[in-house]
Amino acid sequence: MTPERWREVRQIVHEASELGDARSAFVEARCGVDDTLRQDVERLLTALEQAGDFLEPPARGEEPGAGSRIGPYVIVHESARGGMGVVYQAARCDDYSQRVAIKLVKLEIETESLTRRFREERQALAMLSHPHIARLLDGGTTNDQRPYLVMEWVEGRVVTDYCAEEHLSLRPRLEIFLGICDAVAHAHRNLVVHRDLKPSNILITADGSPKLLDFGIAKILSPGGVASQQTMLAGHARALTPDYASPEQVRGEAVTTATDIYSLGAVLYELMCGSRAHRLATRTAPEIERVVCEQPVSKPSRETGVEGLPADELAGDLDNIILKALEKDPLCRYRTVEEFAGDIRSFLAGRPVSARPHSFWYTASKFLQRNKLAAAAGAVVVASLAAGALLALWQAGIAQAERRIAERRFELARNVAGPVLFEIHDAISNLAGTTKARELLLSRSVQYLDALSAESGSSAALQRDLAAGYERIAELEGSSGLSNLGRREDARAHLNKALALREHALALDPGSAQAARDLAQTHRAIAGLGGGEEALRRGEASLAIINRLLERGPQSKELLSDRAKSEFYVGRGYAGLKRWGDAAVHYRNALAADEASGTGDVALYRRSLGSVLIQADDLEGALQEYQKAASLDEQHVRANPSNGRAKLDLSYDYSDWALILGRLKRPAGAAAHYGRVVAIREEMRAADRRDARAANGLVSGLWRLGNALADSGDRSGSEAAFQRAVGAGESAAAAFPGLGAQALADACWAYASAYREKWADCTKAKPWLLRTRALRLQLKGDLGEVDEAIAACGGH
Amino acid sequence: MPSAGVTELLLEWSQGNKAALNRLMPLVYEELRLVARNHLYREDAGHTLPSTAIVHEAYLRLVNQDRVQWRNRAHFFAVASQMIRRILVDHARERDAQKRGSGRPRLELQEAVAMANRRDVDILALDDALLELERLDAEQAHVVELRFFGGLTIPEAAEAIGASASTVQRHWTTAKAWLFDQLAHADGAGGRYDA
Repeated sequence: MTPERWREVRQIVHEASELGDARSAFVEARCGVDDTLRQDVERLLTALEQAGDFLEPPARGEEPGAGSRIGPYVIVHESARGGMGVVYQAARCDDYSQRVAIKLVKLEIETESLTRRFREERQALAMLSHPHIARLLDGGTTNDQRPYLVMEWVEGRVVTDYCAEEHLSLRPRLEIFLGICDAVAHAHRNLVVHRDLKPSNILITADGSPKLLDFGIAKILSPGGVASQQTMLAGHARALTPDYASPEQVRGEAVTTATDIYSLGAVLYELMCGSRAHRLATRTAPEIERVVCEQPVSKPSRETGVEGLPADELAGDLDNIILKALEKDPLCRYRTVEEFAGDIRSFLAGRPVSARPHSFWYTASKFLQRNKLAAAAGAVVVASLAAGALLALWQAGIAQAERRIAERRFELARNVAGPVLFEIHDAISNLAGTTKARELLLSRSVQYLDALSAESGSSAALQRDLAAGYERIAELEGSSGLSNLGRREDARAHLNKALALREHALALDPGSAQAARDLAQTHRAIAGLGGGEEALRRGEASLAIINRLLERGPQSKELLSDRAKSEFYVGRGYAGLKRWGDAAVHYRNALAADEASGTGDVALYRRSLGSVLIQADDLEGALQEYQKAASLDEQHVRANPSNGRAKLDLSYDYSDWALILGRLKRPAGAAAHYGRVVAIREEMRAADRRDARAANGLVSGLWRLGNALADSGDRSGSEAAFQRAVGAGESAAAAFPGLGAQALADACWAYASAYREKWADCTKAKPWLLRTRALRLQLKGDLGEVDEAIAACGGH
Repeated sequence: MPSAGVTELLLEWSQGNKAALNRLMPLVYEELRLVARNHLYREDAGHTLPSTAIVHEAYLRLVNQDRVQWRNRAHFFAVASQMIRRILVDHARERDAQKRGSGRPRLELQEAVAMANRRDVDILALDDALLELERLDAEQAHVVELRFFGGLTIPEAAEAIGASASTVQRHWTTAKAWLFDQLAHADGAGGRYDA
């Protein structure tokens, strides 16, 4: 065999090994007429199945034993061993009396995605606080990178054993089950699905109350976040038992709250009749699929085998309730755990249950059973009471329906505010001409986010989504980016909401680097809004967070890129305070950090450095930075001709480049560069009439062009440019009363200054001065220089 | 008592100092041989292959655990896995020569399948097969060396060879199957893979 042939065989085997039934067809297709290849492949596939533990390294004799440490815990003893790892009883090193359960994941499980899933889920799980749920306390990775979970230690007996050993009758069994339902309902309200409900995960403590273990753990431990068919059936990592698994789990489909309802039904089935709902002859994949997905579940009353629980107690309502929970189709089951529990409560109270089609006589017969006295009092009374009962039932039905609608709306809103918003925004944000569409998206999303915040309760995952949602909204409103809608104060308010959510998330999980990075990013977003000292403080806050992370851990590209961004915002903060020297230092830091990460926006950092060098009068240095920035941005524009942001950036480069040339007394060069600025911004303005930056940028490009042409001696060209600037300014002010009016005022002031200073014509300057004054008055701007100029031109 | 020297050298090497490796190797090799001698002379026929235990023990003896991270450990085990292969192969040759004079027992298929569930492996047959695998794909053979002789986990092996964990997992799975096939059919003429 040649190395090339081996690679071919290996590749086919690798791909085939991930297939189920389709494997042989796949091998046929890949090998075609090459019989030798097919034989080699089949031989290796056979060996793959037989190889088992062959050559597998044993646990290194370092499975922690009693006394060894895992994080801040010390192991007391091993408590259980399963497919996914080992469970220990442990104690906190600093408080030996506090016992915990530590689940240490097997070495061979691919830990990277596991750790990520764990981080994602941990906050949601940590928020579950219910007397019947064993709390997830902590988690982390050991020195050899094995993830572990720390849970409340629960001393108790498995629910099925407990009921059998204590010879419990029907009512106490159902009461225990109602406690279990309470816990699951609480988790569902917090958007956590258990996924692996089974008797061994339900312990009864010394006081007789249930305690549910391993909430949400199945999601963390199953590859891809869902229990795929492979993981369940192929024995690859047998995380779930098929005895209580729902049809959708067996088929590897999406897991929802309905999945837990099914498993609850299977647990109740066993509690009621002592046998399992699934009758599996063998544990092979086809048998599991046949029994779970196709075979009807027989009535518990027919299977009864529990002493003291006769079949006639189960027949009727309880059969109906259990079989409704065990419907193959999730949509036919109870919609919520509350509804399931409600039926059991109804059964215990002798009221009608919903798990049976309502007929008047069914309801009435229940009513009569409960109200024997009323029945004796006469038909009229009975009829009126029955009507009252029906009304109450009907109202209860409405309440259920409303709650279901509310729950659906909540999920929908979460989706819209999260993924949908992000996806649509990303898809259209760089396309010119979409401002109106984005504005609509924005107002709807704000409504959703505010409504969700009010209902978010204690879900950390939701808080994260909400924070990200608010940040996106703020971005659209004008904190950064090209085509913003010019609503800076709204953006600030939304970013402050995001900041509070981020701070809360970090407080919940102070060790999470992701939560810290998220918080730093929100600080930067606020810094991006400007605002003097406040912006600088935010930049510094971000930098401090990132520097702490860099001290603590490896110098990852992402963190170095975060450092570059933070340095940039600190620099920008100083620039906002006109502390040019400090600003240049931090911009240079940003460039240095960016060199190390190679991922950031070099052109932006160079452009910004150039701008403070202009202020610091280092014109040659500034020119160099702008030339580099412009050449980078020219590449961007060439590569992405429809990217509005790249174009705007390039126009800024040209504009400042021109400014420097002007200061260097090269007005013709300056005018040429302003000409380019105007061309780009006119194109952008035409592409999207609702883009405030394009509108204002065009005004400023035009009056600057006017200045440069005046300096180069082209008065008629200059006046034409000023006239166009005023025209564009009027159009901008009409569209954007704040920023647009500001741009118009600047244009008028520039035109007036040209008349006064360049062409010594006070008469012609005056109307423009007065117009500037009126606009600045309206904008509550500084009138000092305007009034001085008006005075110099002979007063009003 | 862990030696400060080895820990230092390991850290230096992990940070990219190639010369440190040259000074590290003889120290590790000596320790491995010492530990291996203790293990191998205690063995009897059909013993559990002690390579990972040896490497681990040597590691605990040589390296100050408080000062190294798991990455450094992966690098140590990577170095040690090559050495322990050498030591075990030498030992097996010696033992074979003593016990039988020449030749080694061949596994029947039944026995080979049973072998999958035990950890004892014909070390000389494995060494031969690994040499062949090195010819087909050196990186795959290296992964086997790290896993089987060094006892490295998949993430550690990935760290040691600078590949992704998923690549290492794929390498490991197919190499393991190939070696199993080779050793299960090690009937003197070699498998069809020699064709």
